[in-house]
Amino acid sequence: MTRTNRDRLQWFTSLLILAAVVIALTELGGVLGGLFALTTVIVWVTAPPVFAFAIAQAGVAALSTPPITLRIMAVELVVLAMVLTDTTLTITVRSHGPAICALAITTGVLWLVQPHPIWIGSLVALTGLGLLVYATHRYELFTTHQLD
Amino acid sequence: MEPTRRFWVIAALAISGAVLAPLFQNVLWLGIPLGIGTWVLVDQLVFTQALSRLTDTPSVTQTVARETVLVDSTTTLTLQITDPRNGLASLTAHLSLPTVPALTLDGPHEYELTDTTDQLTVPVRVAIAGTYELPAPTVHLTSHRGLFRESLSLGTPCSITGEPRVPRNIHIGTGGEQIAVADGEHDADQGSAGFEPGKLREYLPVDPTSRIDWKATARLGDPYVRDFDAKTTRQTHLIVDRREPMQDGIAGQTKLDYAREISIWLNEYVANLDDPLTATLIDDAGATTPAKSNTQTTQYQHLRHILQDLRATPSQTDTSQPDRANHRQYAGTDAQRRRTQLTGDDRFTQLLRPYYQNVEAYLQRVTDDPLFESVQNRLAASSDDAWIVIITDDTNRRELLETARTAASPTTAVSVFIVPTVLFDTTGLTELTQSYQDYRDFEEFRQQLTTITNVTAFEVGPSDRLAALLETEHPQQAKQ
Repeated sequence: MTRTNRDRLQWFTSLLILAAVVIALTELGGVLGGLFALTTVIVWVTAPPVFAFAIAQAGVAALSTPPITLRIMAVELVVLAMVLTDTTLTITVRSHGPAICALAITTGVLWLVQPHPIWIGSLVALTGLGLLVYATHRYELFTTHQLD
Repeated sequence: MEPTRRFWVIAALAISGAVLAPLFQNVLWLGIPLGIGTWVLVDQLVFTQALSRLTDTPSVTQTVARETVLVDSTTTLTLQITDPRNGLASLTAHLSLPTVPALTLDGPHEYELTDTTDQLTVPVRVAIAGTYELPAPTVHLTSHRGLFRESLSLGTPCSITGEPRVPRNIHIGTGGEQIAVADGEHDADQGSAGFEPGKLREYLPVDPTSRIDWKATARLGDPYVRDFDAKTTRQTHLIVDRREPMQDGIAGQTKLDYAREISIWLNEYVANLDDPLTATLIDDAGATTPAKSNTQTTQYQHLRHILQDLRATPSQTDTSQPDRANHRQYAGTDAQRRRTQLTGDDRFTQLLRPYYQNVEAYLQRVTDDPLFESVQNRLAASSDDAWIVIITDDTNRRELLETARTAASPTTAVSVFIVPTVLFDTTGLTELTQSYQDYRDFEEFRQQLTTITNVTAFEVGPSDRLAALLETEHPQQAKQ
């Protein structure tokens, strides 16, 4: 596959996921969901995709109330796929995303089956992410021989 | 690896999601920090892999065209980037060259690295003499999504040596042959007696028997030896010409630079002998004596500083043309003596008399010369044996000849260090035949100086130029 074809595929995939998010949010929240979807598209065009993801995720959280049904879970998965819609990355690089997403989802599902307060979940999520970022930073120092 | 401003914005967004989750009692808000965290981690991992590849492969090679250059000269620093696409394809990267205060890079210090960047060439100028280590260049990288940045020193360091523009390969000699100017201490026939008798003391078993003073022993009844105090000081007058012709030559290797090296060496030589030393600097306005006679260590150091700071003074009269054609003229004292001998009225005497009529004017001209005047003043101030060292060039040969002739006496030795003008021709000895003839001319003048009793004359100059002159043209005659 040539580079041009690969880029086209990436753009096509990204647009496909964006369209799916728009449909899912509109279906979930009606007009309000549509507004969230519109905002998501605008941010996706003007800013890095992660900001569009944050808007879409906020929309999912705002438009749904517990308990979490399968319908909501499906919308959530579509929104999480947005994390991967970064046209600057190659497919190889994006393969890291699903691995981490899978880990996050597994953790989330395990979390849901255990009755814990949500604030502990927030704390664990932030702490865990902080530790992972710091561990990667230390790993980078090691691989670039800066720890000698 | 350092987080960028964008990272902190993203982190704030993630934290807000984590705060909203317990606030609204909805676990779905946690999707924001989890999704953002995933996004951040992917960027960080990919960035780490790229940095690791860059570090493991020698992607930047740093070399300089010439490792040793003269001060204020320029060499070329070349950065060879083996594979700029290796790990940099989707990264933002720029390269910053090392900064060394004494080195001036004639170009920007920062270069944006692109896929097509494979070589950078930067002229480097050495401002101050010394050896400088050029550290490896630093490559600054920013991650794909702009969340992290890192600075890595890639490549190999290299060194640049800046050599000062000072005379090298100094030749001191006669007739193209290098000689030792001063070995040991004073000559046997120069200066006062070597020792003068000191105090008497009783003989000790460690004393050699030859030192027993038999007269004192006979007088006092016990063996006595007499100590001797060394007394071999000789007044040395160092006279350095710093007039405008001494500026001839390329920067850093002018006549005056060679004169400076010789004068500094002489200062150390005299300091080792503990002889009193007076230094006099000659310029067109007259003579200055910055260092009076003294044997203290600080005096020699003071004089060394003065000599190191020696600068030529601009000319007040036109002395640029050497009077080589006239240097064989009879010197003033000769002319005066011969005029007194022209007493007859025969035709030969009448014919010669007009040629000696301008002797008085000639003498007046010579005695007004700063070098001649300075030497006379030094001699007048010196009551004991003296050694006069004159460091000058051959521009004013008649003046130098007359000065040496007048100064030399049985108790005053004169050493003349002459910097030949022909060796400082900035045109690069293009007219070798003419240059060689000029050198021969100078050599005749030097030999003329050495014929004066108690005068020694040396040539001082760059040995490589002299060798080139002697080897290229008439090698056999040069050995004469």
